[in-house]
Amino acid sequence: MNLFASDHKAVARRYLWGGLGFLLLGGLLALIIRWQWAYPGQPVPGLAWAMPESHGAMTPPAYTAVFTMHGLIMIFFAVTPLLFGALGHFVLPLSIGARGLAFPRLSVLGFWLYALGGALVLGSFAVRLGPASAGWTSYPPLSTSVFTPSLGQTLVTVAVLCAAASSFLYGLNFVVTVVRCRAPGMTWGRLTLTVWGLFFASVLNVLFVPVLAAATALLLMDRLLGTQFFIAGAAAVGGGGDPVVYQHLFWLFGHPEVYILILPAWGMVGDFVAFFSRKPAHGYRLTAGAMGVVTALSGLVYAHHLFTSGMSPVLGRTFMVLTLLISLPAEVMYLNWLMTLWRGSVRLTSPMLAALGTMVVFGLGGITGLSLGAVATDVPLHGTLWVVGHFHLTMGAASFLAVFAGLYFWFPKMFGRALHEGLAKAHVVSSAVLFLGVFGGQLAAGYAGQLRRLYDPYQYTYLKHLLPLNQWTSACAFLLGAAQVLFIVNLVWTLSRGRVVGANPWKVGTLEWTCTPSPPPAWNYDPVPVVLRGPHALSQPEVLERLGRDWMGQAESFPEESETEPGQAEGVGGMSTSGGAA
Amino acid sequence: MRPSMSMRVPSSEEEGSQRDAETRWLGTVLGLAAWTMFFVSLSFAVGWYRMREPWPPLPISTVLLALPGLPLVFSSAMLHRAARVQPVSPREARRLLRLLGMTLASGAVFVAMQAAWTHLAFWNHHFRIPDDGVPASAFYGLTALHALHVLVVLAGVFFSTVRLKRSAEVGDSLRRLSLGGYFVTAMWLLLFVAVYLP
Amino acid sequence: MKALPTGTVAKALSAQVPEPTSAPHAPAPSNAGVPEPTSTPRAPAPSHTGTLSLPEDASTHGHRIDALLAWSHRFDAVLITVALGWLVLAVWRFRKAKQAASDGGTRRSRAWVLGLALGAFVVVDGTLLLGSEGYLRDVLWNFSVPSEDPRTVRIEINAHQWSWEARYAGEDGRFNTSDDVVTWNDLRVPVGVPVWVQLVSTDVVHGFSLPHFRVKLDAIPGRVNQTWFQAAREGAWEAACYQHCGTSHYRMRGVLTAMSPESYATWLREAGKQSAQAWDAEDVAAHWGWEWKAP
Repeated sequence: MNLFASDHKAVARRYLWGGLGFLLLGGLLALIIRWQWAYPGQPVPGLAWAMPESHGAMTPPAYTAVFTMHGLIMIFFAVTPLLFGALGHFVLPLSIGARGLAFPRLSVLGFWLYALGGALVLGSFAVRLGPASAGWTSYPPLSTSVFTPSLGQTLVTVAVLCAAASSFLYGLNFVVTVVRCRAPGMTWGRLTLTVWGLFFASVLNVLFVPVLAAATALLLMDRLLGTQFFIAGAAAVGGGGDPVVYQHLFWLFGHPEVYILILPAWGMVGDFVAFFSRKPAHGYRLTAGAMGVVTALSGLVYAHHLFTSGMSPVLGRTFMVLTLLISLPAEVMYLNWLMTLWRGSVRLTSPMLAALGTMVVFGLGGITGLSLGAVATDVPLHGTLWVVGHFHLTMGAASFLAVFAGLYFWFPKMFGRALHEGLAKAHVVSSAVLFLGVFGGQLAAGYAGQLRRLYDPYQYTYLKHLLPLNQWTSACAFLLGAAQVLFIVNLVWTLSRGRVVGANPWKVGTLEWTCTPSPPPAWNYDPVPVVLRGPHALSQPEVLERLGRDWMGQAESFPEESETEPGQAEGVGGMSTSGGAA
Repeated sequence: MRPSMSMRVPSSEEEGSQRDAETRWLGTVLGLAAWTMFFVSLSFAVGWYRMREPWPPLPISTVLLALPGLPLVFSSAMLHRAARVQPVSPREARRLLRLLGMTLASGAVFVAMQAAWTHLAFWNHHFRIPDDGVPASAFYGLTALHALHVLVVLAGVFFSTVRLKRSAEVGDSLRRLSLGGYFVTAMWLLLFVAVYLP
Repeated sequence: MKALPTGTVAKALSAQVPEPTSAPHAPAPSNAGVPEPTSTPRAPAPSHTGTLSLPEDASTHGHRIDALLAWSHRFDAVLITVALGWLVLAVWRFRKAKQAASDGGTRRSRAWVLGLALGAFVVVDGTLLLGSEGYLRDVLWNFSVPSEDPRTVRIEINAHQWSWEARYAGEDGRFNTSDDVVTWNDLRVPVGVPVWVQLVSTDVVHGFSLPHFRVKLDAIPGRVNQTWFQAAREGAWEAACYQHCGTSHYRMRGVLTAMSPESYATWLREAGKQSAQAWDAEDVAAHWGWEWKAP
C-alpha cells in the first residue's frame, strides 16, 4: 500500500483505519471513566501493568488525564476523521461525479498532518506526568504551564493544532471540489443530501477552525514563550490577561464544531431514509435549506456555553434567543425525515437501521438540549451529566451511528465486499439501544445534580444515592463496548472472505452505485457521467413501467432515448421539485 | 481571471490545465479568505484587552512601526507585477527575475525591520515578556505570527524563482502567490491597527 | 479541623473536607470555639428525593426554575412521543409496502412540515424563553433586590485550588478590616435574607455552585463575578465546584449552613471578635478582600 498515494479513495482508507483505531482507544478511555464512577478507586481490570503503584486503580491525576484524552481523541482524532477523512474523502468526489478531489496532494498533506497529530497524542501517554489533563476544552489558566507543567499537555496542544490544520485543508478541498468538480448536469439541486451535509460542514471547518488555531496558538505561546494572554490572578505578571478571551474564542470554534460533527450525519440520514423507503426525500430543498440555516446560525449561538461565566445580561439574552432559534430548522429537517418514511416501502437494511438509530438518539439528544438553551433552566443543569448526556447523544451516539450507517452502506463500494448483514444489524441495533441506556442514565444522574469530571462523585452527600444508577449506566457502557466486537469480527471476516458484490447492491441511483464498479478504478469514472436527475429517483411510475425496477441511475436514460439532453430529463416522474427525484 | 462555472468536460489537455489553474486560484482565494478568521480572532483578543484598560504606547514610535509597511507594500506590488509578466522573450524573463528578486529583497527588509524593532524594544527599552503583561505579549506574539505568514509567502516566491531559473512554467503559482502577498499586506494593516497604534 | 463543630455527623464529614492548611496564607479559622446553635444541623443529610428529580430546593426562588424545567420536560415528553411514535408507526406500517409514493411531498405536505415545526417552536421555545426571561428579570440578574434590602448579607468568596475561602465584613459592614470573618469551605447565611456573593479566583477557573439553591457561577481569576440567592429554611447543604480545576477538583467541597437570623448574628459577632484579636496588619496576603463593588 502506497502511504503517499493521492487517490481520494486511498486517503479515505488511511483515515478509516486511523479513525477506527482512535475510536477504539477513545472508547476504552470512556470505559475507564465509567468504571471509576461505578467502582470508585477500585483497580481497573487489566490496567495493573500501566499503573503498578495503584495496582491499576485510577488515581485523581490519572483520572483527569483519562477524561481529557477521551474527549480530545474522540472529537479530533476519531469522529471527525471518520466522518470527513474516511467517508467524506471517499464519498464526496464519487457522489458528485468527479474524478478526484480538487487538490489531491493537499489531501495527502492533510492526512499526514493528522497522522503527526495522532502520533503526538499517542506519544504523550509515554512522557513523564502523562498526557494532557486540563479537560478537552483546555481552559486556561489551568492549561498553562503554571498549573499543568507536563510535556504531555504541550504535545497534545500541538497535536490539536495539527488536527486543526488537517481539517482546514480537507474542508477547503471539499468546498472547492463541490464548487468546481461536479460532473456535467450535476446541478446544486441534484446533489445528495450527504454531499450537502459535508459541504456545509466544510464551510464551517474553513471558517471556524482558524479561530481554534488562533486560540491554541495564543495558548501555546503562553505555555512555551511566557506570554500572558490568558494568565490572570496570582500567577499573572505585569497585569496579566484574561482567561475569558480564550473561552470566547474556543466556543466560537467549539459550537460550530458540534455541527461539523453532525451535519454529515444529518445528510446521510436524509439520504438513507429516502433510499430505503424507496421514495424521494420529502422536501429535499427544505431539508438542504434547513441544514444551510443551521450552518449560518451555528457561529452565532456559541455563548450559551458561557451562560454561567458572568457575562453581561445583554449578551446572555441575545445568545439565549439565537440558541433557541436554531431548533426551528432542526425541527423542519427532522419532520422531513419522518415524512419521507411515511408512504414509503421501508426496508430495514443495516444502513437503514443505523440511520433510524441515529434519528432516535439525535431526537432525544436534541430535545434534551432545549432546557440548556435558556439561561434560567441552564443554571441547575450547567456542568452536570445532563449536559454530558445531551451532547453525547447528539455528537457522540448520533455521529457514531451515522458513521456506521455510512460505513455499512459504502463498504461494498470501498472494498468490493459486503459486510455480513446479520452481524451488522445486530451491531447497530444493540449499539443504539445501549447508547440510550448509557446516555439516558447520564441524563438522569445529571438531572439529580451529578457534576461532570468528578473523580469520586460520592464525596458529595447529595450524590451518594446515585451510585446504583451509575453502576447500571456503567453496565450498559461495558455491554456497549462488548457489542463493538460484532463489528470487529464482521470487518475482519469480510475483508478476508466476505461476499463479493456487484456495482449496485443497494439498488439506488446515485452515481457511485450506477456508473462505476465496486471498488471504483483510480479515475472513478470513464467517461465522466452526464447527470440527468436527482439522487432519489425511486419508485417513479414511468421507470417502474418501462424498466420494471423501482430505481433509476442519476445518469441513466431510457433505452430508446439515449440522446436525452439534460434539460429534458427534468420530466422523469413528472415533477421538477420532487424531493431530489429531479 | 474569474473562474468560469461551466459544467463542460474539458475537451483537451490544455483546457483541462486551464481549468485546473482556475480551480487552484479559487482554492487560494477561498483559503486565504477563510484564514483571515485567524487574524480576526487574534485582533478580537487584542481588542478585548484594549477595551479592558488603556493600551500603553509601545516603546517604539508609531512612525518607526509603520516604516516596515513600505517594503511590505513594495514587495507585494513587485509580486503583483511579476504575476502579470509573460516571460515569452529572454528580456521579459530577465525582467521577471528582477521583479522576483526585488520582491524577495524587500520582503526580507520587512522581516529584518520587524526583527530589529522587536530586538530594540526588548534590549534597549526593556519591554519584556512576561513583565509587561498583555501589551508586550501581543507585540511580540502577533508580530511573530504575522512574520511567519510573510516568510511562508516569501518561501513560495523563492521556490518559484528557483523553478523559473530551471525554466519551468511558474505563472500560475506566481498569480496565487501574489494573492498571498495581498493577504499578508492586508493582515499587516490589521496588525498595525490592532496592536501598534497607541 | 477546628472549623467544624463537634457532633457525630460532622465528625464523619470532617474527614472529607480538604485541609485548609493547603493554602499558604490560611488564617486561623476564626469561628473556632463558638458555641453552635443546637437547632442547626451542620452536615447535609443524605437527599431523600428520588433518583430522577432535581436536588431538593432550599431557596426562596428556585421553585420558579424547577417549574420551568418541569414544563420543559412535559414538552420534551410530548415531542419525543410524537417523533418516536411516528417513526415506529411509519416503519411498522410501511415495512416492505408493495408500493411507495413517487413524490417528494406535495405543497400541502411541505406546508404541514413547516407549520408543525413552527408551532412546536413557538410553544416550546416560547415558553422557555418567556419563563427564563421572567426569572432573569426578577431574580438572577436583578441585583436591586439585594442592594435595596437593608438586611442583605454580603459575602466575598475567593476560590483556590481546592477550597472556598469566604469573607464576611463583620459588624462594621466593611471588608478588609480587622473584624472580617474568614472561613474555609464553611458558608453561613441567615434564613429569609438576600445573600449577595461576589466571587474571585486566585489561580484557575472554578465553578461555584449551590445545587440546592439553583446557584451556579464561574470564579475567574482577574475578575469579580456576582450572584445572589435567598435561603428558604434552616439546614445544611453542600457547595460544589463544577469547573474542572485540577487534580483535586472533586474534593473542592464546602458546606453552606442556613441559620436563623439570630444565631447568625451571634455567630458573626463572636467570630468577628476573635478575628479582631488575631488581626495581623503585617500579613498582607491575608487581606485579599476588596471594597464591595456596587452593581
